[in-house]
Amino acid sequence: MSRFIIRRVAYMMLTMLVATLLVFSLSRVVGDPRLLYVQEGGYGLSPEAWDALGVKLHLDKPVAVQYLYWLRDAVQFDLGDSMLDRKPVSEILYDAMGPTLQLAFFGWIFATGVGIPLGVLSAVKRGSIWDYLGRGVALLGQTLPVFWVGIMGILIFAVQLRWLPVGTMPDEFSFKHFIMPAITLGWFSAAGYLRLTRSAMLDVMDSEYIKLARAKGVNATVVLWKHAFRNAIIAPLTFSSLVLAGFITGAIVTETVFSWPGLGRLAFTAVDDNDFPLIVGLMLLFTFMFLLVNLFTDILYAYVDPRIRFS
Amino acid sequence: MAEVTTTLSRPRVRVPSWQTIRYVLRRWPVAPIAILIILVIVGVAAPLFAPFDPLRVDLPARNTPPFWVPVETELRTVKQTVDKLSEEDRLNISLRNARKIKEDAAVGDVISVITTPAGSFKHLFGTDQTGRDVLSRVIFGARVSLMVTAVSLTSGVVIGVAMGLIAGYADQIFPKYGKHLDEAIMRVVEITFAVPVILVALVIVIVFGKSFIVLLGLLAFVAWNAFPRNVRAEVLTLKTSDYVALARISGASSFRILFVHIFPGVLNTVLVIATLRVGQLILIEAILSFLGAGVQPPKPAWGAMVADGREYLGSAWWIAFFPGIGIFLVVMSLNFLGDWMRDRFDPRLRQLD
Repeated sequence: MSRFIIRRVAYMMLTMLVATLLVFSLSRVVGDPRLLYVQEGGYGLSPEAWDALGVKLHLDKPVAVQYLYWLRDAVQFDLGDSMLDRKPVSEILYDAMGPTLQLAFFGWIFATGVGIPLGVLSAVKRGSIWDYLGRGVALLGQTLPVFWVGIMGILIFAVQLRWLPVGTMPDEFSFKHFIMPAITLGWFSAAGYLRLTRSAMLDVMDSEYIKLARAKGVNATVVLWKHAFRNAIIAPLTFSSLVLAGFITGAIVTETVFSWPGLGRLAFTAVDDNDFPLIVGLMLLFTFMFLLVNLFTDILYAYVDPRIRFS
Repeated sequence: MAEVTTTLSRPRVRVPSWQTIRYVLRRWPVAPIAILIILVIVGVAAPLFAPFDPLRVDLPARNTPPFWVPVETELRTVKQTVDKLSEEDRLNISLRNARKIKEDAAVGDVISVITTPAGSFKHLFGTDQTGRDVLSRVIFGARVSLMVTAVSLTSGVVIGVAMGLIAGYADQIFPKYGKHLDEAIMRVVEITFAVPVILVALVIVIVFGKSFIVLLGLLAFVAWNAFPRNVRAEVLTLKTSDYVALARISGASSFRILFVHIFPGVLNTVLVIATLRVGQLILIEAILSFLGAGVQPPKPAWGAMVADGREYLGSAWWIAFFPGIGIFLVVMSLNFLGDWMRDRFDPRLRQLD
């Protein structure tokens, strides 16, 4: 097990290194990286700041050395200053993390709370109204564009019916403000969970040991929850990459739609203002979180299913 | 002999029964294909179908609703001045504005005010905040989506399939370092899966600027990594098949074997994955355009149109509604078609999702 973990951690670090290399080379393909700070839509640099930035980025040294300096700074959370408000990027990211994590938490609750039970239901009652409902939810979740769902939600529930607030997170916690953003964010993942749970349940329900359990007269509820569900749940619970990739894209879009003060909205404003240091920080942070959760679920998977450990 | 001619000479007229129609509808993805064909025709010949120039601004006709919406009026009390921001005054009207509607209006009167004009058949889907025809914009948006996905998917398929072929067949062409080449390609593919696509896209957009070419390159980059893994797996099995061995014995070169004998064998897989990928590409294009990083205004793109309409939700919901329906229909059709093709041409890929 420990060998497996070490291998996964090493792989994660390698991927992270490639991500930094990618970002760094992107900043150097334009020639002088300082040009990225003065392009159209940005706020520009004074001549003094231009020179100071040159010193900070070690532009007098070879590119490989520049990369090492840059990497050292990045590891110490020094990602430069945001161009718009001249605050350190790491500080901005830190402030925006809370709202995003809270939203992601509720989004995940929605995704699992709807996706898994509905997946089980639509597998067990195959061909019934529940099956059609479940498949409908899954189909819409994977084909409706996230931003459109959010906007139509605002139109119906905030503008027309006035049941829910239009958006943004208030300073004081209010559950009402989380309902629409969480559903918007979680629906795509709910659809993923639902499909996975459904197909896993169908597989398991068809297996020999379930037939045996039924044949020897085990209570149907026990067969369903103790024998079938516990095995079927492994795949959806550990299938992180789909859910998480959906969450990252979803967070950017959802937070933009609902003016949520989190990381996703920062990504939108960074593109709007051509804020290069900020978008680099965001990309590294999101990649890191993505890899971290993947690592965690890989380990969980290996723990639950020994076959993975030795492959 | 004579019997045969008689049966042939009597043509049987078959009216398809209800059962046959239902059978065809169940067995073949009729609706998705119909939607996609309509989309392609409308998109390619957009100027023929669009009733207006998608960029034509017509300020007097701005915010016209779709054709079925009746005129909407509201009763408002006339007041000397109103504070638009306060909740109670929202339903009142200032004396100055009231006089524009009814010349003899006085403070305290209740007058009826048109909040939304009636829809007209001139603009079936209504007009946007500057009076541009939404239907025309949706049609031209289909054209933009079509072009973006066609170009990026083609380049993605070419790159991805080439990588898959090379990875799977490298040890035949380069006996010495083929294994390492294979390993390297597959590692790169694996890593591209581990980096969040949308953020890489945003970084690239900032570095290279917001242009159409950059968007095409980006989406090609998004498209390519779905192919190498499955193409490679296919090549690995085909490579050991008997007919490839026979081709080698009869003296075919490695390149000939790869392109003439192996390549046709991976086409099914490529077709299926490509269809499943198009929907994702359209969604990503829409998301990028929505974020302002994709197709740039004034060129009409579905995602950007939804973003535009977001600011006018209270007064003109149709600006955001119709382009979203467009995206939804296309992506759903592609998903159905892709699933159907997978089940039919390459059932092994079923394990993918």
